[in-house]
Amino acid sequence: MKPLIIKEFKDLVRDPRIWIPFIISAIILPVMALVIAYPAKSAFYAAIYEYIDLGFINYDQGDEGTKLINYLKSLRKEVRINLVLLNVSHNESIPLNDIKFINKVLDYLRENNLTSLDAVLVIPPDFTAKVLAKQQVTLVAINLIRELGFFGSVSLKGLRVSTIINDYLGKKYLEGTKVALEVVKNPVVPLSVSYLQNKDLVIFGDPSTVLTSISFTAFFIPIIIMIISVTVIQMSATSMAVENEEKTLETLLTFPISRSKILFSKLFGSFLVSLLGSSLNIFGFLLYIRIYSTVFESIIPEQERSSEFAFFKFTTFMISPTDLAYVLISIVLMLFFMASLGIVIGALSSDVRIASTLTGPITMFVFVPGYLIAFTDINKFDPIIKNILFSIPITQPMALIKTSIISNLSPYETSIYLVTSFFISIVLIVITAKIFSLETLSRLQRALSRLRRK
Amino acid sequence: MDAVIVKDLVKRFGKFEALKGISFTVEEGEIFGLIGPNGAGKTTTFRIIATLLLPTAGEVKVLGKDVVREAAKVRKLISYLPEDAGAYRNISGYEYLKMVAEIYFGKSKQAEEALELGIKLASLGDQLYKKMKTYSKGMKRRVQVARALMVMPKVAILDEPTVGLDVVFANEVRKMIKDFSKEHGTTVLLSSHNMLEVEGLCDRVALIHEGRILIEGYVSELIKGFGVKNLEELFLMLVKGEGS
Repeated sequence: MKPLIIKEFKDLVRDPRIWIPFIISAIILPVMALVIAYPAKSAFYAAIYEYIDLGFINYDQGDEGTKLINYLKSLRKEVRINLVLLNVSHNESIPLNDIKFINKVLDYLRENNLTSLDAVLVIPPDFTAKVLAKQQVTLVAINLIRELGFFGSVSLKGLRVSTIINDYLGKKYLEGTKVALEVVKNPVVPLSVSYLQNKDLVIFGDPSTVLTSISFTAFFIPIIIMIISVTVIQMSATSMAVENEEKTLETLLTFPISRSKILFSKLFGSFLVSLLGSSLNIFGFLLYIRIYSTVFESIIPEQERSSEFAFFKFTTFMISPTDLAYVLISIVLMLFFMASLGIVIGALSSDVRIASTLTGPITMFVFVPGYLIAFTDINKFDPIIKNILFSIPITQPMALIKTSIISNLSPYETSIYLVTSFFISIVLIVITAKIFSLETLSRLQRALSRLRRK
Repeated sequence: MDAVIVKDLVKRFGKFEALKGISFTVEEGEIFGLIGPNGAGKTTTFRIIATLLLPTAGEVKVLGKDVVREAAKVRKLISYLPEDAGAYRNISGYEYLKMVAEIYFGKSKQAEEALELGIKLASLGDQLYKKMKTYSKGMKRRVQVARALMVMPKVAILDEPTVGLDVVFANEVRKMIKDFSKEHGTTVLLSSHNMLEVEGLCDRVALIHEGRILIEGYVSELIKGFGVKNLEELFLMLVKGEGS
């Protein structure tokens, strides 16, 4: 079997066509991260640090509107706002949010070359009356959008202004009382502590911190496995189908070596190469995550950073080294299963085209159970089904990851699950070897051509 | 002892009957030619003898071993060269021959000798160490013929061994097969469309047409018996006569 494995390894590893997709994916992911992260960074930067050019129209019949404008003027440098007072005449019968009024404001801006403003705030006539009565006031904000991006800076700039005005009025309403604005805004300060019973672990933070970590892991791990699995299944299926297409299989099947040995050598050879190639995929993906976290961490103040960016670190902290080893073994076994599946598909395909057509839908089908495990409570399943989910290669990694985050994996049970997963792949190959012959292939090809004719 | 016995062999692919009860025998050490037009059933017969396909009915034995019940034993006795045998693109001819030698004999002196013989039979010089994707069709065929013979099979089944080769290469391959069979006593079962080739190479032939054996015998006796100039004339006479 060894000469065949070596042949398989050499034939694949020397093929530049094999490496091109790996190299492209290793480059494309970091490039994608740069393409998304840097516009996002500049949008966030603009929203937080750039001056806001704000137009004001004051229809207030009292002096509170002027006070607000003066307050904003006094904070000009601190909150980075440039104020421009606009003189737009107004017929009181037309509401301030009516399109006629809005068009009038826009005409004014165009006539006075003020279209570079970020927004226009309209202080209504009843502003003073409402402020004195300590009521909610309505401010019409006309945002001027000049470009469309996923990360729009205009809305974030608007948020900055409304926060300042909210705080200004909030403080005003609380004048004469001993109540601080912060208390009214956040009357409860949660100091949550979460206790993971199965792990006997105390975490300072509310359970959503743990859940966020799990859900992000649940989201990303299947994606990582999917990227690698697609490569593994396609490579093994292609390498096997090429034997059919290039007519090398016919010779191979007459050698004094069993069908199962032929299939296993194809499996081991292509699996080894696909693991090497996949390391490039993983490198690209890790770089993708790294670029994201670096870019966002550089602009978001530390206390405001979301736990999403630290989910890997957090998950690693949650899973013990032994459990992590189990999870990694399980992932490798799943990839081994995918390679086996690829070999089966390739063995039963008369050419590479058929193998490629079959691998796509089969890969998608394989991922559905993985996501099912990620988003359902495994403990609610019947014990038999639960054991099956922990044993079959396509659901096992996710089941082990979820369990290892909230409790410690049992070495005894986990070992049985891992061995079972390995044997499922072996059995798959052995069964295929039993039906794998030119006879079966020609029968399948005939069936396929009959199907095409229909 | 007969090297190959084919008795009442039938092969059906669905409703299509490719072989309709053919029988012939190949004696040990002889070069036997199975000739016939395209689609006559030559490759199907070879594939059954080489344990690649199962017979629908009938019996096939190679040196007394049944190709269905003792397929693994048969594979140790034969080597098969398919008509359109491909080559692995990214390994060299040398690496390919080495792999085959090790599959047959493990890492042993015998494997080294087989490899040495393979290198000699392929006669590609330094080209043998280059990737096979750089080879011409003729070079690939030489490597394949060398591969089929170097393992010293008891029975070599060669389906169109000179197909696609130019005159010089084809002549060299024919000489290689004849000399090898003579030197090592290897039984060769081959097919060819080239009647001149068959006439010069084979001791005996069987003519197969539409799944049936029309005649079987020594080349010289057949030519004499039918009163024809050569095998090609006999072939045309029988095939056209059968068809009309």
